[in-house]
Amino acid sequence: MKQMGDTSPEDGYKPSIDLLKIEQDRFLYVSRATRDAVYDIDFESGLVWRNDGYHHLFGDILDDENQIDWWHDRIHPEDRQRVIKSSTDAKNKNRVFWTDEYRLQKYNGTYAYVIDRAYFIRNAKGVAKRKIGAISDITDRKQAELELQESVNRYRGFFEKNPVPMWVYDIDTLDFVDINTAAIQHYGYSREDFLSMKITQIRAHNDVHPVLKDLSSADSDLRSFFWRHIKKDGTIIDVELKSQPIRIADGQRTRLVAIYDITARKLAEQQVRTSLHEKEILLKEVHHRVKNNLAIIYSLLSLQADQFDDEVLRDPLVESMNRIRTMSLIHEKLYQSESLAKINLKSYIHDLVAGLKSSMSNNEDDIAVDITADDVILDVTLAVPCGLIINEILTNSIKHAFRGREDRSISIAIREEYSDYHIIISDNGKGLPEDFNPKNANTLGMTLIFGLSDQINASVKVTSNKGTSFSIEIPKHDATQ
Amino acid sequence: MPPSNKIIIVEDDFILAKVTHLQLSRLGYDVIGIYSSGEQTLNAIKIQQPDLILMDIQLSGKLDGIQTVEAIQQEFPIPVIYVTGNSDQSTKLRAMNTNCTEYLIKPVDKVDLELAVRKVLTPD
Repeated sequence: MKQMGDTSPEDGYKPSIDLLKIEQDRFLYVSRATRDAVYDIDFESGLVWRNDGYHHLFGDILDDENQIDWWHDRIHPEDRQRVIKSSTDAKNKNRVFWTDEYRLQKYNGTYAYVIDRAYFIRNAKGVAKRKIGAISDITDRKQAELELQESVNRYRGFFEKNPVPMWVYDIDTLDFVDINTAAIQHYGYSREDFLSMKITQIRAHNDVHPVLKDLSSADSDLRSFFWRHIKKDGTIIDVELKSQPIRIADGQRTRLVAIYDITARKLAEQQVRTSLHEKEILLKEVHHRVKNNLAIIYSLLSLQADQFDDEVLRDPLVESMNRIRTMSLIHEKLYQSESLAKINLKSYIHDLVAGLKSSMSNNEDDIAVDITADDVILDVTLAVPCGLIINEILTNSIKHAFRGREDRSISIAIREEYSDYHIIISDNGKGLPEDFNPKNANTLGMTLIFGLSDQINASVKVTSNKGTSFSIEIPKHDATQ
Repeated sequence: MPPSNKIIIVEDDFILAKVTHLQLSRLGYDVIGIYSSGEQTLNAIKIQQPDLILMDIQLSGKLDGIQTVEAIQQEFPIPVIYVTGNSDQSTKLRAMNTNCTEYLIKPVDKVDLELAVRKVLTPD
């Protein structure tokens, strides 16, 4: 049974005058209440009826806007052909309802985005008699959609056009989910190739297991990895990956990965390492050969010294042998050192003293040598003169200080201070002769001590009181130049 | 004078070999051969077995001194003193694994050489 308000003109129901009045009032108030532009076009009479909402959107009606095609000129030129065609098709193809979205010019000249919904009222033969519709201003919604789309496009661009190869993969399935152009170009796989693969499929065989193991912490924040990947042409590249978990709309757990190809960098590092290793070997070999050559000279002098029974003739040769061994020992220490350019002075002094005692004393235990030394590391340019100075001072003590004495001791102290190295060598021997001025002494030993000290800008103080003491201060600044 | 023990010197440097030879001769030892490579030494050792070998490590042949000693000690338990310029720990460790008596670093003082040789050849 029909209820009031359920009537529609096209179903053949003939309402009473009262009902028509109610229907008309309802239509009037609804058309007034809405902010939409409601219109009624009578195709036969060519008359157009509009509600007040029309004025809200389009201002006063102009004379030429009372035609049934009044709105054609107001449709944005880019939308016009499409909209008119869709409306005409709906009218001609016996459709009841038509809707479209387009831009419509407002009274102030600007365009509003609108959604137009209309019903066609047809006669018994299906010919459209009237078109009744409502135009809603959806500019705000459309603007928001456009801004959202623009934002999506912008961020999509950051990913898609990023010069760094990037992709997104599914943490659970390990499928590639998205790939940017740089990745496609760098790896040679097409987008379709990527999307049909899992991330393990571009891994070098030996890396697959470690990768799977590492993925156990796939939910963690920004991470950095070093792996090897396989390009489509089979080339294996070294890569550094930086990845971050991201959640996409449907809750899929994914990670965004940026890939940096470090193959060239690793190769360069390897070449530098190899080159450095080769130079280290070469430098080691140089120290080794220098030491061997010094050993040969030492041995030749040793042979020659053995030919003399007279100490006066033999001693200068033995002293020269000791100087050669002093230098040879430097090269031995350099050869053993990690840097190949610096030696530990403490260790050197111990070996130097042992060698000197062995070659110059008939009984190694008859001279007590006390060494107190900081762990001083000396550059080779300083180590050789330093070693020779110490050798000369010790030689002098062993040779001259203890004649006729039973209590024989030498102390060596090496300290590293803020701006210099301080070496003090003292013996408890008979001291220097009263008229002996070490600096002006015409002996090879003293000439070497003061000459080499000048060379390294060291100051030498000699005191002779209950033995002899040499105090040498070597400035660090000059030592490192 | 010590008993005339037989010593072989394996040294690829002529001068060093000659100097060691003279030093040992003066001490009364009998240097029965000087060889510059491990291969020469292995051939010689089959004919004349010494009481002591003074062995350099860097030699002129394919075998180094340590490899030569390893080969010798498989057949002959002859005492060995290394006399070498190699003072690095890794070489020293390799040498110690061959049951050597002493490891002397060049240049070797004649007293040190005498003490080392005496330690091996003089009966307790």
